[in-house]
Amino acid sequence: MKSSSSEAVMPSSLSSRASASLADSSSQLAQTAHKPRRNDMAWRWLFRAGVSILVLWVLVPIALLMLNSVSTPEQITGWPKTLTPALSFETLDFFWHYQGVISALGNSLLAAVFTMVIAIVLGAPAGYALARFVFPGMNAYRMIIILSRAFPMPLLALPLAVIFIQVGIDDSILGLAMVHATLALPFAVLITSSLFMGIPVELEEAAWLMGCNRWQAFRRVVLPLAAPGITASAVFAFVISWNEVFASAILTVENRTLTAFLVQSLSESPAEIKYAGGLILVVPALLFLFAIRKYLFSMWGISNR
Amino acid sequence: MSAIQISAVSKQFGKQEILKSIDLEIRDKEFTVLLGPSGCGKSTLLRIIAGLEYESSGSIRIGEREITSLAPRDRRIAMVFQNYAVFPHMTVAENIAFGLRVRKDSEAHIQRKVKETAALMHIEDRLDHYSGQLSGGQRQRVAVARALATEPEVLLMDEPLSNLDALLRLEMRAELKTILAASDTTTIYVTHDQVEAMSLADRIAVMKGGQIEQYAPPSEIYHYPATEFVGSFIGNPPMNFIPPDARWNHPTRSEQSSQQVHKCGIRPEDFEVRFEPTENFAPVRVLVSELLGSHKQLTARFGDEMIRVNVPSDLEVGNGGDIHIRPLAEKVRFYDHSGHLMSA
Ligand SMILES: Nc1ncnc2c1ncn2[C@@H]1O[C@H](COP(=O)(O)OP(=O)(O)OP(=O)(O)O)[C@@H](O)[C@H]1O
Ligand SMILES: [Mg+2]
Repeated sequence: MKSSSSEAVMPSSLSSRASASLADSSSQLAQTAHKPRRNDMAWRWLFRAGVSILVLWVLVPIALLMLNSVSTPEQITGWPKTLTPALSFETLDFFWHYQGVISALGNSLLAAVFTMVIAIVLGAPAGYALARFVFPGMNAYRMIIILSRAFPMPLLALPLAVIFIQVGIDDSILGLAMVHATLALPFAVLITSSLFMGIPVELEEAAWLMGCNRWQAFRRVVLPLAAPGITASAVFAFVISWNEVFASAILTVENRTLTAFLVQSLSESPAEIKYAGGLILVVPALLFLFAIRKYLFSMWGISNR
Repeated sequence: MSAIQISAVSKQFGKQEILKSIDLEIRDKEFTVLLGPSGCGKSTLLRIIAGLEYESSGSIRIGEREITSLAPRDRRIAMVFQNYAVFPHMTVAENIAFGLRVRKDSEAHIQRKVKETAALMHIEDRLDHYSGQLSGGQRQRVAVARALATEPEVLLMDEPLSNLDALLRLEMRAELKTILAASDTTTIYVTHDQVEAMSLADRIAVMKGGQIEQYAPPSEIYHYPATEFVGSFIGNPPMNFIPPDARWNHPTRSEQSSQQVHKCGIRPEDFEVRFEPTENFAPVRVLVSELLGSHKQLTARFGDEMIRVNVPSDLEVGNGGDIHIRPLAEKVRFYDHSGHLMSA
């Protein structure tokens, strides 16, 4: 459960990346096509095989999840699987009425919205600074932002739980959102900085000369142009919080998020709950990521398509 | 609509000195062109005037106002950028109205001003378009209209025509000239195209390595280059710089000052040509002869130097032929060892 939902973010962006570089390399191949070599062919097939495996790796669990959640409970446990289930909403229906699900869903939503707000309010200005100003330690700052993603959540979550109890924000959605924001912030900074870099500074300068102060120029010129991208980076922050399991499970007890709720009830709840819950978690994340994929690519330096 | 006074403005980027104490006085309503090779600091100077870059030292006045420490928005300056900087999320009309809206002019005045400037720049039928729907030339027109709409005291332009194709550039150049002459705006215009500079400017400031070599009207720049650099930068082909030649027997130089003459500067078109050896003429060997329509351009060897000589296009001179030349006496300029024009 954990690996498939909390990391759903990474494989999907990975596979998109893989397909982007597939396009690159096939255009390179096209350039050298006038002298075909056997080696090229072998590499091409190896490459395709690799890409296929990666894509299946991501898609098969999601497909199973979807199939199972629209199957009847009997079909879920039964064998062999059918690709055309009876399309029963029994499982999903059961899920909705399972005790605690609705409040967990509400907590997940709330945590994700808080995370989104914190990540954008703090991340967008940092991204703007990185894009517009040259300052000492700029590269180190950028590096640290990326490195902070390498910090393992368990190391962070356990001491934080202690501190949260001391401060009195333990088992609160706001406290959890602050932890999720530390996960989302690096991405918010990187996405928004590449966004602001794409907006010519002359537009702002022209606005200054026409009587705007810095803030007015930002609001009237930069913000409208950056809004779609900022929205995308907000959505990404939302998804990160939505998918996060570990910190949620450690830091909340009564106010469980949906991920934490599902992990907690892993042993006692029936299989249908897991599938339906998994689906509820994965589908919005996938849809959101698909909608904003262009901005995620730009963060990785792959041109928009 | 105001004179500009730039006093001892210098600029360092780190240890690099980009502008070295620039002094420049621009008269009210004057059209000044900053001309110079790439990297000489033209844009930097322009951006300092606009307040987009801080000077390291020095001061700038517009009219009676000291603007050195003012923010860009308080300088009453408009600027046209090389990449136009037309706001992509606003229509042409909104772009032109932008500055007026920011300073909260009445909506009636804004509408009138937008119509007026759009008509002036011939974009009145594009008012509802976005910049993505415009050609480069049209975007340029929007940028100029937007700048003029605010009736700035000073208009700055940084290579505004360099992204246009040659024909359009010619057309816009002529149009800009008439429009700006009528608008009474004091204009500073950056370019590295000398033809553009010659055709537009009331006065040209020729820059090199962060300094102003000469600030003078185009004809003076052309006929009396203040330094060897100016002579060789302006004019196509550039001025010839050759050691003084006794045979030419220049009457204007006294014996004493001719000691100090290091180089003579002579424009290619300022030579007399003979086919036979003649008194006071010097022989040169023609290496290349190119017919350029209105005239013929000869590249010739004169002693150790290469020189360019323009002759009438019907003059029959073949490659490898010998001719005899003498500069027109009143057209020779004399330069001292430091490369500066010696006063006659
Ligand atoms: N922000 C900056 N930091 C460091 N050096 C700079 C900066 N801006 C400009 N320079 C340097 O200042 C010098 C002059 O630049 P500037 O843009 O004024 O040249 P220019 O005369 O406008 O040239 P061009 O005709 O190519 O536009 C260049 O050597 C450039 O590298
Ligand atoms: Mg420049």
